[in-house]
Amino acid sequence: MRTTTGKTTGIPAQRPPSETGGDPARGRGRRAGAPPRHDAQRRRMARTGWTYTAPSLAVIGAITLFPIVFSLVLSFSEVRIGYGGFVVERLTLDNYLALVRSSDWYYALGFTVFYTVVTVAAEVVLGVLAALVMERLSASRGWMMALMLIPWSMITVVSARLWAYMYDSSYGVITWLLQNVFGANPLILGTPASAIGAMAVADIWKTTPFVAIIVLAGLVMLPRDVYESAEVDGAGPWTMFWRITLPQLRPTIAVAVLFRILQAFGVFDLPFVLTGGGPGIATQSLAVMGYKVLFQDLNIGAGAAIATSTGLLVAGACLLFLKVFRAQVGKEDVA
Amino acid sequence: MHLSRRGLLTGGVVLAATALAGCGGDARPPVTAADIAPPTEPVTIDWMAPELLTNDGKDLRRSMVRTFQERFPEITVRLVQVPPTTDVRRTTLTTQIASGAVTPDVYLGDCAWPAQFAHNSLAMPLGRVADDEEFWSKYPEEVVSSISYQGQVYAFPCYLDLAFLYYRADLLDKHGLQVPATWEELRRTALRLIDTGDVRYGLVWQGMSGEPLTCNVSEFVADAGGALMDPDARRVRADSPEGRHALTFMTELISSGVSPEAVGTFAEEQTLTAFAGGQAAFLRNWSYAWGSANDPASSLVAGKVDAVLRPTFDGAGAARHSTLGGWHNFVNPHTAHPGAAVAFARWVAEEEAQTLMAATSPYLPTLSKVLYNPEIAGRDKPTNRLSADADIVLRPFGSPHYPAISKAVYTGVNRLLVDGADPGAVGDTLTEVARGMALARDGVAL
Repeated sequence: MRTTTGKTTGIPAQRPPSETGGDPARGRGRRAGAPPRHDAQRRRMARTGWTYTAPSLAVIGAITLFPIVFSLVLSFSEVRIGYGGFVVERLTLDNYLALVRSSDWYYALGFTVFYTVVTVAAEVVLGVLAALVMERLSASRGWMMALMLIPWSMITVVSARLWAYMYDSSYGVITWLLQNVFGANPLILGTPASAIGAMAVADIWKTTPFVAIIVLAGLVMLPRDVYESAEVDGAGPWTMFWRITLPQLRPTIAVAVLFRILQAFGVFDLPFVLTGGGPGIATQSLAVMGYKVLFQDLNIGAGAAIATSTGLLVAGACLLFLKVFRAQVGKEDVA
Repeated sequence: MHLSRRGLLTGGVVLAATALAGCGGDARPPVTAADIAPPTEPVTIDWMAPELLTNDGKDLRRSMVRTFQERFPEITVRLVQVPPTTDVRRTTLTTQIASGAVTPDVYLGDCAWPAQFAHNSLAMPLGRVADDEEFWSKYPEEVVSSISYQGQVYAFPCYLDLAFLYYRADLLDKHGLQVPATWEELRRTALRLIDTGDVRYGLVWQGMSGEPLTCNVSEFVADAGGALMDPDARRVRADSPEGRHALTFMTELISSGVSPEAVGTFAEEQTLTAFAGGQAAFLRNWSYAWGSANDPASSLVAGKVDAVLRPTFDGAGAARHSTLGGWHNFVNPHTAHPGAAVAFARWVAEEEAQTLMAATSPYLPTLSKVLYNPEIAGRDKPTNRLSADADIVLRPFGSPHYPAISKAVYTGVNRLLVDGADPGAVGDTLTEVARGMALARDGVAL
């Protein structure tokens, strides 16, 4: 077995797997004559590493892995609550069959996807615009950032309640404005389309600052010399934005979009407080539906199936987004 | 040492399977009320109940606990704060008790919970009515029925809630109008009052997608002579001529302008705000609204309000219907102090506590001899005086799937109300509601 050494630093370089003869911990595939002292040292180091990371892994296992797997198992079970806890009667696919036969589930899925696409798209556009404006501010940037963070820092239950007061059809200030300024007689939370719109506005108001701050962080890191060269070449502001700023911001925007997809797909507190999922089931997201099935109806198996399927869908959506994003970046690198 | 992702996942599955195997429930509760007696040693129990305000703004829970501890000095009762809404309380209690928590020992729960909580082992069975007929005969039959499931009682009654029609007595006097005895008369009176410009709305009620809408629907269907389900919550009867009559009238309240279009977004809070703000002539609400509407600090119509039992339909007889509401004390089946918990929950249902409640608070007692004795509560409170004449409507509480049944009712009817309130769509709505209720009854609705 060879040991390669970094030419300039003298630090032992990491060996490719083919040169290590497989995983030394397994004790297989090691070529005869390899120094046993080195393997023993690696095993000792591995043990030390596991010892140090074991507490963290135990916590992760307890609070992340276990609930996910537990929920997965419950979703395939006919389960009820007994005096000693959950009682699994049998394993079954009935919970998932109930989902695919439920028109309410299809509606909740469609609504959640639509809501995610619309709000995330709006937040990205507005967030980028806000970040571009803030980047040009000098002394007041700190104040502006602090002001912009107020909606984001507000607890959603509180902000949803405030929006509910403003939308109220009897005494809401927004209703009053629409009546007295525009002569309309709106029932903002009373019809499906306006309730969905009102909910999206409340979400965009709260979350755009989050996107703006992330994009701003990316903006200030962009190298200035590229802009100087472009300016020398005669590029205008619009060209520089489309050809330099936006392409370079893509990784930053991707991070923001990923976070937002995760949050928007699991939206719960806003519809729960603002509309209760109504009118009818117009604003019932998958999370609200899961909550109602699980905690109002105490239908444990079906509730777990909704939670599990939602988790899989959002993971799939994120992976798809990343794949598309990487493919796009790869194309640009080649170009 | 090597731990692959597959290894981690396998570990998780094994852990989950172990947990599932380990939490297999037994067929009977750890203790039953029949096994126990009040303690002789000092014990402390936790009571989870929302703040109950007395007429002078004090906490009724504290005065009840103080009086109880004078009778049972060996039992100390600690008050536990509760989450703000009924739904969140149910969630908290479900997760807590299902995981075997021994506290709270006693909790105040909604009258709609007994069958569901009994079915899911979240409440201790407290014995059969037949085993203690002398005790249970002191309460209205409908109350005892609402807290029973499969022959067992699962809660001790605490307080009732009934629905009343509140009205602007000053406006009726001003325009020489009578208090309406029927819904048709109320519609005419409301339209006249709107025409005078004294009010913006005629009648406000709870049409939002939620449990209060199920209460309103149950009452209107009862007014028309029908019911949503049979008393044993097995046969769905919503899609009936009586159901059609009720829903058609509800939509006409909106289309004729008696009720605002926004009523489909009104929960109790919004209706009370509209009425207390002087915008509405009539309000359907629970007994607590009497105090709120007459509180000068929060109401523009304080002192101008009176209450009657809800009207009925023309030619439907003399019955004045009100949905049964209220809260009762359940005992945690895992409590470490079942004797003390049962002693306390039972004491709250008995005469001393019920009299204290009636004399000092706006809550309606459940004990018949106190409830039907207006001298105790005071004759100036019409809600107590009227309750003896109310015809109680029971929602299908007897089903352990009641929340899903109710959801089928309120989502379907709310959709009808907000979607143009078209009387022509009533038939389809009722068919859809009845189908949803049947699926919910069978436990297969989502």
